[in-house]
Amino acid sequence: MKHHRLALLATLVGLSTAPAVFGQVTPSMLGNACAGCHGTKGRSAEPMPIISGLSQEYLEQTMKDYRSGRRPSTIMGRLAKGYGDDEIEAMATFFAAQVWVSPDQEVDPGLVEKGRRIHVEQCETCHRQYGRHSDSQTPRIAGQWRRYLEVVMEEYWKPDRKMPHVFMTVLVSRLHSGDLTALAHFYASQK
Amino acid sequence: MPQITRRSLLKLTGAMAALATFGFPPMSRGAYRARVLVVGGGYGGATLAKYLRLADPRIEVVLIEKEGQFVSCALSNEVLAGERTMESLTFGYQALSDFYGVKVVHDEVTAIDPARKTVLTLGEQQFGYDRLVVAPGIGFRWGAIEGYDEPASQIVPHAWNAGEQTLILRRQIDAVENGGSIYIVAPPNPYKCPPAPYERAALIAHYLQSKGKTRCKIIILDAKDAFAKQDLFKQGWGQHYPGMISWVSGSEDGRVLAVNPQTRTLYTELEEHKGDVVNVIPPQKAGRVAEVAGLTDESGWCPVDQRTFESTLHKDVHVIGDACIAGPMPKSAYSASTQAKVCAAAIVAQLDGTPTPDPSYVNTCYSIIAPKHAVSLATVYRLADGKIVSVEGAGGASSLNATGWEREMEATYAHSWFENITADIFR
Repeated sequence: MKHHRLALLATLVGLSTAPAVFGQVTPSMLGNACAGCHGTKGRSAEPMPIISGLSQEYLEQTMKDYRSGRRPSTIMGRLAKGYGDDEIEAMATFFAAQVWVSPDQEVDPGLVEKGRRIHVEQCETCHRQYGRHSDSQTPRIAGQWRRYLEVVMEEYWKPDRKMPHVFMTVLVSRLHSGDLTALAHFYASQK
Repeated sequence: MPQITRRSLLKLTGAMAALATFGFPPMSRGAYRARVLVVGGGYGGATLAKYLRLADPRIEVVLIEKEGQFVSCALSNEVLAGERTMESLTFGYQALSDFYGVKVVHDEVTAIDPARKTVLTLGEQQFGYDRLVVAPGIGFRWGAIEGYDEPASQIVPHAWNAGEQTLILRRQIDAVENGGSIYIVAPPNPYKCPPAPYERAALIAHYLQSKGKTRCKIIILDAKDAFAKQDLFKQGWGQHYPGMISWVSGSEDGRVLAVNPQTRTLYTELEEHKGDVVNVIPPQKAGRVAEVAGLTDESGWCPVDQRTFESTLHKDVHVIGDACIAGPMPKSAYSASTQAKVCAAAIVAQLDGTPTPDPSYVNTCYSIIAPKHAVSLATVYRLADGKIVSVEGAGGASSLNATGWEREMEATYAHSWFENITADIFR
């Protein structure tokens, strides 16, 4: 009865009386909402991290780590708490399906060379192919924004910042801050 | 209802005969399956134009914007602080047309006829549409504060739309002597960018401090008794600008009833305040085009179906951004952009005849208190029983106990937010 009256009202004010059909939250609906900070399809402007084309499992785990607080953040924890597992999975699927594009960045050639040497000695075991490798544990870092890499390495470097990958914390703590800068220049120089 | 004058009707007839650039009626356009007309090229309208084209290139998107360039209001408080140029806030529509195939028309809409699905412009162009999206931003309630009208804003600027108004206020602040007083009149809810009056106070204080003018006073006279990120602002003001900023709530006689622009005097119920600089941010309503089109209700804003942003007053017309009523979402740049994406997805689904996808909305909003100190608000929204609601247990403001490093990172991310949200539209 109530519905009939509503339908009549809708007709009177000239609106469609067709029953509304509702779908699901699509991966693109979720992913596009992130673009205001992470760039269209995850290809961000500096220094927000580029997240297009990362591994689906990595993206999913990272969001869940933000949500649980396992990974500290300024804002991502508050945002990640707004999504259920299915939504995080859909979001990760969306960004994993995008193509990574390494932006042109200004780098210091001396630091790039220094960074390359440190990378080969310390990082290539996991961040294979000079940082291009991407899997569930390892984000691509070749071609990532230099300033973002510096921020994350600083986070690993700071003793009071509890980061999720203990192995990374140990490795980074052994390096000097100049080494971290050099590494950031090296990865930023990669395409 | 729109007013169609005899003159414009004659022009309309003329346009039909001459087959104006964009033709009429909307159904007869070659390769395109539909035409979506977008009125207003700000954070909402321009985002919608791009995302519609990304979603389906068979949709013809015509964006009508009266200004040749977009000037962002977000971060314009940094211009007042001397930390940013107007150029850095200014964006062209070239990428939208060159890379995304949006047809950009610089003209001013004068009338909308939802029954015949046509739009008329000051430049005497006439456009038909299958779907219309109206994104006019805010308008001002001139006269709501007695004595405050558009001419008065040339002396006592609002600086609530970025551009010349920002520069007027900037010059006035620059000329203030040490010990001078600056008044900011903060508006009642709802208005564009809720934390911005308080960010403005901080950034003006920063500028004055950097010039050694620490005896200046910034007084916020507020119509409200509370404001966004209040504790965080008070903490930041005290930390960086002790004694410089004071806030007078509405119930403490902060509500400004009248202004004399010539003498820069503000009148509240009990007192009068004379300032060296007076910034009046007037009460607001939906932008003019929304009114012209009959899309507003008695609140002055536009009621919409919060799933699709289709007007509840006119079929096939959507309203997004500051002008629409979107439940608890603040009138912010990010809200407008996320609403644009939800609306674009709904329009595509409607044209396809497929189910409207469930919406998901986000707002992120940064406020800069000092160059290395910013705070943020983040909210995730979803639709429940046809209404936009905040997701429980998520979102919120930055912690009051954040470290200095985190505040500095938030300042970095605030600037990055701006680079990304503008790139998401204009690049």
